[in-house]
Amino acid sequence: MWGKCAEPDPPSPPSPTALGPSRRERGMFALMTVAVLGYVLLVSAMTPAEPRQRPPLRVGVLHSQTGRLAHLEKPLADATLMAIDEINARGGLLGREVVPVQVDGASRGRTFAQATRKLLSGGAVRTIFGGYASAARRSMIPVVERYDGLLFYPAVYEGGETSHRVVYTGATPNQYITPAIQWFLDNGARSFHLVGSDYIYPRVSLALVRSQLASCGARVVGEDYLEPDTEKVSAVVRRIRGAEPDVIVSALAGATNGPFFTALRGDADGRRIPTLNLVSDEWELRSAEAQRKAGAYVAGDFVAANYFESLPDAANRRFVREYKRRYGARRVSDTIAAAYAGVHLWAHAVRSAQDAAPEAVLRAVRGASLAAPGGTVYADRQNRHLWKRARVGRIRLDGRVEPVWSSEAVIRPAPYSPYRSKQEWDALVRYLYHGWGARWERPPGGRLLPQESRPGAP
Amino acid sequence: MIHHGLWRHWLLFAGSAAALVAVRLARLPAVAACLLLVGAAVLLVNSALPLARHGVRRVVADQNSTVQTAVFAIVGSLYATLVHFSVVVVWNGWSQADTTVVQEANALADLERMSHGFSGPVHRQVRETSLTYTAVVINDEWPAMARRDSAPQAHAALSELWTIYTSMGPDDRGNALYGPSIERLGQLDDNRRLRLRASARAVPTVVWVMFHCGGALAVVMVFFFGVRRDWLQRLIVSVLAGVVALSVFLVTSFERPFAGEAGVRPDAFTAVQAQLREGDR
Repeated sequence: MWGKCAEPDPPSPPSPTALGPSRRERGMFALMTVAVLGYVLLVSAMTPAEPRQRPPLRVGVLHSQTGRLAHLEKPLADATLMAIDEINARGGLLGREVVPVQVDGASRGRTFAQATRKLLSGGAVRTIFGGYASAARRSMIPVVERYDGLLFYPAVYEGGETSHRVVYTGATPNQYITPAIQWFLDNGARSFHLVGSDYIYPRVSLALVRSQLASCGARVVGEDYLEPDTEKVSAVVRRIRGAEPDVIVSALAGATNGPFFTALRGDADGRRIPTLNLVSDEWELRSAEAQRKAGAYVAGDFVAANYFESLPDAANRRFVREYKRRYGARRVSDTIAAAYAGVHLWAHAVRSAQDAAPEAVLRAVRGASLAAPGGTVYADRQNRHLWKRARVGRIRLDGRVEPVWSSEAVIRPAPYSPYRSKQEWDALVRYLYHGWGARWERPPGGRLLPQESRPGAP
Repeated sequence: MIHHGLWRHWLLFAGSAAALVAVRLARLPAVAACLLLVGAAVLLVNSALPLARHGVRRVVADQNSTVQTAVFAIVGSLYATLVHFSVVVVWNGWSQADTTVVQEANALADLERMSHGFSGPVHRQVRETSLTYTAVVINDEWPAMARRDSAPQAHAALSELWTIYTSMGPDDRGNALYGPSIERLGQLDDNRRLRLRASARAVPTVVWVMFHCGGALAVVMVFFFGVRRDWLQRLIVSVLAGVVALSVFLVTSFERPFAGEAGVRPDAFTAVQAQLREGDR
């Protein structure tokens, strides 16, 4: 059978279906075509375009690398750079690498202003992370506003200003000073001695304390301002001992701290008066001089802040571990944590806005929240400050600060403390600025300005 | 009735069921959601009708018995009771939430007005904190409540108001308005708590199960009624499915008083905010 060729069948007449594909086949063909086209479109949509080299996103990092504040500001610059590194490690922002442009503020307000102008006038940098002392901030703000830039300022400050071009990641006085004073009042303190270095921050902060105490019926038994960085403290210490207050509220800064606490606590016979420190945060207290001269004397004293290194949240533990690993730091302070959080807040806003322009960032930052070291912070919709928790800590003998009190919730930032009207705060700032000869601190050898008169003040 | 091409009905059935689920999950404007829900329900029962007839063709009655009618009446009545109960409960909840919001806003407005009788610093603090509270409630807490959440800043502002009154100096504490202010503050706090509780409330799962099962059973029972004209039976099941879908939509809309287009709006707070800002000028 296999060897015989079969006669070929006569060609059958073509049926209608044999003339072309059937309806079902046509349908299948159309379906397959659509599927293939869809697949091609989907793949082309999901495949990133040929990667183009996008220009880097330059940001200014403006802290003092030289001068008397360099040892305080270098850790802030480190924290800023660490946050930038973390952002770049995750692919940068909007596909661009974030490149820090570091400039030295040289611990002088005027240099900070010049450096700000230099950074912003070129146009490549629109955002600056920096500033520490109030004099530097107040010198930078007019320049930032003139060039439509954006400043992320990390330090706690005295309030009495709101610039629409600044995001303040440090605290306002009502977020750390007012609650700390109230904590002392709640614990029975009734008389207070106020002492501070004679520059804008202590003057305004202690004026707020004075108003708060007057409002609560407590007494201010003395108020002294010392020339910045002076070591002549004996007269003030004598006055404090004579007045015997329940609490000393100190806004002394820098080199004055060592001699002050040595003179105050050196005499073992005297009654130990607890001190609330408004300036000397964890890090500053552990400066070489403070350790050498007065480290032991400040043990047991109190610090008003928003953040302590020992806070147990996971974000903080991670941050502290990484910061110490990178820079070999012994301590992490409130301002360092705020500098670090500020960069991440900016990155969050840039991502939300899909734009790094200051105007877009300022819009996006309003109402934003961030899991920062020490807890979630919220950017205020009105004044671009952060809602933060207030804390009081006690300095231990080993130099660490243990938290002893924390506010029930985050606290609303109020740049203008309600204990005086906005006009009164502005008048106080003007009075001091002009009284010091257009400076933000008492000039060397300058006279002590008397308290401003406030007729009819509550 | 010829039952060839059943796959089309299955396809339609599955598609309309998926559409029902999608409409239920999607966040659509109220009118669109309502129309789509009813449309998908009508499509579902119409596609299910031939399937049911095919599956149980020997059971479909040519003549409706008295027993069948009585059972249907009982099932219908029970289901109507359940629907009525659910609608009343969610509507009451919605009304109470609305009243709570108004009372909370009133307490805040009163508190701020009474603060004028205290010293300058106290008045400034209360006014600023009240303004912050209204802004946070409107901008942050309202969207958060739609997710059954709250805004920590609102809690913070409320805590600050308490702190202002509990840490007052002796002169302000002696003020005749101190007691009434504390009372208003308590009302404010209580009403916020009630508002947050209302935002987290939900119709219990067992009620939802009964709601859906009852509706499905009522519709399925109509499948087995003998009706001479096909279009008439389709019309009957469509109307029934539409009514059930509308009931589900109604309960869903009012189930969460602060979500969706039917949700309570922060108008009372907006009015207080405007009043506070007016006072600022």
